[in-house]
Amino acid sequence: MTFYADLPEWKDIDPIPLPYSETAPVVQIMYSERFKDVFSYMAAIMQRKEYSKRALALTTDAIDCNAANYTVWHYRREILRHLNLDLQEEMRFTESVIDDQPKNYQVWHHRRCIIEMSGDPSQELKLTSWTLSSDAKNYHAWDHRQWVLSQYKLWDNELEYIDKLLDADLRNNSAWNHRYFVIENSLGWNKDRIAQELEYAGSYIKKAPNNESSWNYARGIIKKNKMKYLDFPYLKDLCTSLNEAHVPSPFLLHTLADIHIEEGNTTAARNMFGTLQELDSIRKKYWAYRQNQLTAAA
Amino acid sequence: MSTTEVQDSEVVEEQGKHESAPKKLLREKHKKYFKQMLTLLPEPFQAHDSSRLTLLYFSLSALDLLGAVDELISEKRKHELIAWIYSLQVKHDEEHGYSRCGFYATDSIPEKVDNNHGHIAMTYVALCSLIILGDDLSGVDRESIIQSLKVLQLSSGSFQCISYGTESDARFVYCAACISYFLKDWRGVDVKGAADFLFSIQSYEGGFAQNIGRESHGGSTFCSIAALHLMGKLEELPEDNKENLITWCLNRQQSGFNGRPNKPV
Repeated sequence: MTFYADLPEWKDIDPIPLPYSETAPVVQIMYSERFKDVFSYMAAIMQRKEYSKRALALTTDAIDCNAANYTVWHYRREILRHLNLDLQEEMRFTESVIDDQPKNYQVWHHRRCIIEMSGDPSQELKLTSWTLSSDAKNYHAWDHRQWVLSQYKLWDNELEYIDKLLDADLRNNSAWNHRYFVIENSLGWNKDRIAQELEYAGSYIKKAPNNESSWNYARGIIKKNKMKYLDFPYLKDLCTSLNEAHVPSPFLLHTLADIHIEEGNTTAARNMFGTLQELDSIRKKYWAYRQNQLTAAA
Repeated sequence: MSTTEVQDSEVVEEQGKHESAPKKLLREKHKKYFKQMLTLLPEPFQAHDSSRLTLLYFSLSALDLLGAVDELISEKRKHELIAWIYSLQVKHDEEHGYSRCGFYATDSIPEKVDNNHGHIAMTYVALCSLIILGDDLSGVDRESIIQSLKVLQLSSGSFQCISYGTESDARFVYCAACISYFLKDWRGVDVKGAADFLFSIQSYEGGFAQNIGRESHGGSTFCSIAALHLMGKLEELPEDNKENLITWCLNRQQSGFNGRPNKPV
């Protein structure tokens, strides 16, 4: 391993050593020799406000030691602005850090900054779908993808992408959330759209009636758009037929109960909440509370 | 692997673990561990150098919950810890104004380099830590911190964490609310703006996401509700929204709690 302290091309720099308390250490990290070497030079470069190619290379090493250091990433961006370099190399670098540490906040923010600098979002859908292929629920990847889609209006193939994800795993809650987001920001919500999406959700509910994600979507698209369950006969029909088939799904019974409440049929709703206390016993107290609420109202 | 397969195999593993797991909290072992973590951290922690002040807070908070702060931390040691925390404070100066004010995470890049910026989450954990240690906060440059919050709040009502530009989300709104609450001074926060932002991040699922349109998540739900409560704005959450939130939160419990539907606990 070569230390900066031994490199002739860095001879002009006096490294600034990391503070270390012998007598009163406080959360004192046992930094490696390499870490101390890299950061003592990083500190010196920052003090000089040097924005050079060698400074850029130094930030690469600093990021390798600690990819969560905001100050180093920010300094790297200052260097990139000063040097006005081609950003393709930077894109490759961020991609390699994302690949290695896909849950690191700083690298994703850096990627966003680079895209803003270049104005070129053309690789971002590929990057995020690549990251999501390893972890389909990576919050950072979804956040970045949604930012790119909104910013650059790249909606065209997105519903198709969601279909693929749900075919692979219909319990992928992130994909369901993404569907809401895409429709909200591209096609828009109206009664017809909600009706269509209810049938979409319904097809998945029938496949896996205990999947919270599809129920949250079905219920949410109605409620977030300030409508009533009764505005969509399909939903009540779906719930009724599943219930007649004795499908033991707490989400089904909860939805049916809420539909009965809208109808003013408190007796039926109370029965549902009664059954739920048995079926979904971990939430027994909540279902009892919902049941009692109806008595109080009556 | 699909979610169901993952969930099934995880359930079997969890059941196996439970058979041999201790039935009581191993208090003395935890106390010993966190006391050690106040002092020296092994080399792998260098990847967490930028969270060093947070690591201090975690250990202090754990000892506090275990009722062991006075038992395990002498007055002399408390002063050492307090002094270290204060050494990470950036105060107002002519050149930078209030933009860099607050506390930063680590002195690995020393003060004299003049490049350390306050980080809203470090300011939050610094204040928490000082309070746990019984400090009266008289060393806190309150005005600087309050003014720095103004710099960090965005037009959306949300907050970023450092003045030169970072990500922004519910975590930092929570930090801003806690800081203002501790210092009993809300001049640094546009409370209506922050509350409006938080109301806007409640998703169709009933939970709160990190940003608008994102997925409801346990962490951001906590941050949002806690911040709204501290700001005195929670009662403005409409009744239906509150019910949806409650349902979403309760549905997080499988055995323990997961953070999002169909994720492991």
